[in-house]
Amino acid sequence: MRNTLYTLLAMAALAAPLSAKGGSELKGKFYFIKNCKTCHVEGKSGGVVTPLIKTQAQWKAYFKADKHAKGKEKLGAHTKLTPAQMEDVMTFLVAHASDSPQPMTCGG
Amino acid sequence: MPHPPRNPSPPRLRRSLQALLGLLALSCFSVQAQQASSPAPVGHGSYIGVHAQQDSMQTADHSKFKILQGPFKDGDGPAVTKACLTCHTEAAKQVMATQHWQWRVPQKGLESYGKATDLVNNFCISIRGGNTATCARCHAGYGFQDKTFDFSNPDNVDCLVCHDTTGDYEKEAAGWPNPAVPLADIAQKVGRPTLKNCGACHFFGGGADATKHGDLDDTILNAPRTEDVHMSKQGAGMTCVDCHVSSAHQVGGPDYVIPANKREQPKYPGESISRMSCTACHTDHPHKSYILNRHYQKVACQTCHIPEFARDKRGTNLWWDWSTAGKLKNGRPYTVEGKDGFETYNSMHGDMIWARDVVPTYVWYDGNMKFTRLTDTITPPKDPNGSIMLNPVEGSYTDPNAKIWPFKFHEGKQPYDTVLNKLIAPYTAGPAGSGAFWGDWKWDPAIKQGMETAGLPYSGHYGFVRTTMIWPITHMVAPKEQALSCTACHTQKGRLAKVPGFYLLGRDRGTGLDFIGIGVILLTLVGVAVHGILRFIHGRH
Repeated sequence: MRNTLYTLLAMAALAAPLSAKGGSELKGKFYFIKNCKTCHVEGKSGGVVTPLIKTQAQWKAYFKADKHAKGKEKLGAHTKLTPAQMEDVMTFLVAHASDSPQPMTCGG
Repeated sequence: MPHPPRNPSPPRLRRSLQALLGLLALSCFSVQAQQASSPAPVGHGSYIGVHAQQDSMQTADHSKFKILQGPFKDGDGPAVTKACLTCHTEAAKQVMATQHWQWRVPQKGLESYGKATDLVNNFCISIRGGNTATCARCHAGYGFQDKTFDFSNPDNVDCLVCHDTTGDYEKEAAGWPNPAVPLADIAQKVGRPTLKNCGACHFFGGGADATKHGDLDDTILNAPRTEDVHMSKQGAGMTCVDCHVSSAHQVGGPDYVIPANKREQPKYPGESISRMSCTACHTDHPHKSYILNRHYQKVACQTCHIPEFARDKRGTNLWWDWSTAGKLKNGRPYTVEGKDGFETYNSMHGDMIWARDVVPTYVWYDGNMKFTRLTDTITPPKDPNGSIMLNPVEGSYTDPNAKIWPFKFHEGKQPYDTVLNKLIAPYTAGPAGSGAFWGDWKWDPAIKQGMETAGLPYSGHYGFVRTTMIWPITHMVAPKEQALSCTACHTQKGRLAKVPGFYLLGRDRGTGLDFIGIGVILLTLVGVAVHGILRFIHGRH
């Protein structure tokens, strides 16, 4: 029974990142605005962050490294975002990175 | 006890001099007399009657309505609207009768005005070239993708964009809610529109914050009193709808033009839906000075009380040159930032000029404007610095309805058909491979596709023409300490130096009035001199 439970948990752990791949760009935009942009705007502690500050590869590497605030904490540590929602955020940032097909949108 | 003789009969010369001085002083005395008889000002604070606190205006706790507890599918705005309409049975019909829904304003005897018509501007130009879905992020509805949108379906009315009080509501292309928006949570917390609700669209006119309106941007949400005495929380803390009072969901305010028969000033907020006015709260005689109150007849309150617009860190757009748009670096779009931190170039828009603390341009204005349509024939100016005015205002000194108003002038270059001499609606907002300018960076296909979508003829030849637009400034009212002083205008090189059609004290010279004034002063001096000489000759002290 215990082995079965461990097996199921291991499968779930493996499945989680797989299912998160190809997250929602639109949802990611929402989570990015509501969470990241509370600090990462002009005049606030985090400094300005937009999708344009990194290339697609840089954003993917950033999320893979999973470090925030110059390595002091894990990415999203002070948000309530789930792993799936973090995947949405990454999808949005990658989709509008500086080397993406749509680096800018009307109205910012 | 004998009284000393009072008012001994003065010599004839003295009597004459006194008469002259009396004449000189007459105007001053008469002004003071009228001032004393003016009604006492009653403004400053009378807004309190309409500016009630949000909480006190709520008579229902929407979280107690089971139908609003959802769950709603991701992005299913119409399901929320259906729930709202179970109680608010007339709300959708009311909204559907407004400009916020129709994007067109019927005009008597004329074609309608509005975003959904052929009207053209020199910011994003027009929605008609296939840009509807992108622009409809600011439509009070769901699914406005193109001209096939069903304007008769009440379920597509977006209640939340105006009534969300959480600040979490976000709209996407065609006006659909972002799928991550917590619809049930927002639906249970609806309320009276706040600055943020209105600002979600009206701060971002022209495609981005502070672009179109020089007097509206999102700094107002946290503005100091010096930026806006009304909307600042350090000031009156008012919301938009305190002045823009609604009737049956028709939000108060002029729709492009002010009907001629409704130009009278409202006596209280909400008396007129078609016209907002400072006088509704402040009365038409808010100053202690009679002379200042008299300015009201020919000078809009905003002229003195909004000394500059864009009085914040944002800056507003003054120049937008589409003719230089589309440059790429290594095949990719780019931006250039100027020393002042404002963008001076953007591949999407071309060269741009932004500025803050902008002194308005002053123009006679009676509430009417004319607008240019995509179907109008234009006359490109031969002078390279010449410009076509897209929305000329009407009014002059002799027009009893006209006043001197402050305006933002916005200039730029935009595409036009060099054979048909008509302005063009390009297809701009679309991904790579769609033919859209912001996707493929080529004007020719973007224009062809845009004009085809708009159902308008295109010769196949395009150029760029300089155009000007004029935007009334009426928000960002400054504290009274910052209002213009007399000498800001009553001087030769003052703010009204180029406003024509009338004699302005301190500005104008060489008229009969000047001759009379100088003559009276000279006569006075001569009289004083003669009087002094006579006294000296007669040895009287």
